[in-house]
Amino acid sequence: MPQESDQFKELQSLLQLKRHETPGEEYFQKFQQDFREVQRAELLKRSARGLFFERVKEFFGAQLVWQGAAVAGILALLSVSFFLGQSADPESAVAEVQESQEVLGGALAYTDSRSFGVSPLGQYQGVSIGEF
Amino acid sequence: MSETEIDRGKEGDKELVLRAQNGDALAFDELVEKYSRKLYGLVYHMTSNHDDANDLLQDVFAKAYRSIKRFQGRSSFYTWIYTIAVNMTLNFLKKRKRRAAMSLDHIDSGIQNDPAFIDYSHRANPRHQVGVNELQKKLNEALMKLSEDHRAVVTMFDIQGVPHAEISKILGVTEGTVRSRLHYAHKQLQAFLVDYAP
Repeated sequence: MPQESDQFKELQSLLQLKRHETPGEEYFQKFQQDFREVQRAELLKRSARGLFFERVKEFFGAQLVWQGAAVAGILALLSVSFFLGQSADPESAVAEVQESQEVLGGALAYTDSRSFGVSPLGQYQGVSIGEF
Repeated sequence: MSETEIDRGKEGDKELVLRAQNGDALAFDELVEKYSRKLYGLVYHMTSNHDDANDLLQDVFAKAYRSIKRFQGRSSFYTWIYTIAVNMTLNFLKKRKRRAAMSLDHIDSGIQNDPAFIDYSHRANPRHQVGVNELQKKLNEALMKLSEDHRAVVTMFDIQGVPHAEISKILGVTEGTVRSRLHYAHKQLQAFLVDYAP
C-alpha cells in the first residue's frame, strides 16, 4: 500500500496553496495591538477590583474589635430576652400569682389574730384615725 | 513546519511562559506575536471566514492569558495553545453549523508565483485553467464538506504541516486515529476535487 503522502501527493500540494490565504502583515500588527489593549484594560480592571477588595478588607480589619464587641453584646441581649421570654410564660405567671396569694393569705391570717378581727385596711385606717 | 522547528520553538517558549506566569505582560505579547500567524491559519482554515477567525483568535489568546498561571508545562506551550484553539474552534463550528462562511478577500499575491498554482493554472486541459479565486473557492467548498474533526486534521497536517504525533497530542487521540481521519478526509477531498487533483 503506498504511503499516504504518495497516494495523495497532488491533493496535498493543492491544499498547501491555502497557505497563501493569509492577511497581510498589517493585519497581524493591528491584531496584536488590539489584543494588547484588551489585555491591559483587563489588567487595569483586575487591579482596580483587587484594590477595592483590599480596601474593604482593611476597613473591616480595623473594625474587627468593635464588630466583635457588638456581636457579643447582641448575643447577650438575645439570651437575656430569651430567658425573660421563658419566665413570662402565662402558665408559670398564674402559678406565681397563686403562690404569692397563698403567702399573702398566711400573712393576713397572722395579722387578723393580732388586730382582733379588723381587716388590715381597717386596722390601718383605725390606727391612722386613732393617732390623729 | 518540521519537528525540529517545533522543538526549537518550544525551547524558547519556556522562559516566556515562566515570565508571563509571573505577571510579565510583555512576555505574553511575545507569545502572541510568535503564534498569531500559525493560529490564525488554523482557525481560518477551519472556519473559512476571516471575521470569525479574527474573533476566535482574540478569544483564544484571552483564554490562554487568563489560564497561563494554571499551565503546568506537562505539554509544550505550542501544544497547549493549539489545543485551546482547536477546541474553541470546534465548539464554535458546532454552534455555527452549516452557515455559509466563505471569505475570499484575503489571499496574498504569493500564490501567483507558487509553482503548484502555476502548474494547475497552465495545464493543457482547459477544465484545469482556473483563476486564483475559483481555485480558492473550490478548495474552501471541498474543505467545508468535511466534518469538523476531519477538517481539523487536514488543516493541521496538509496545510500547516504539523506532524502526526503533534496532532495526536493536540486532539488527545492516538496517532492511528489521526492517520485514519486523514486517509478518510483525503479520499473525500479527492472526490470533490477530481478536476484539480486526479
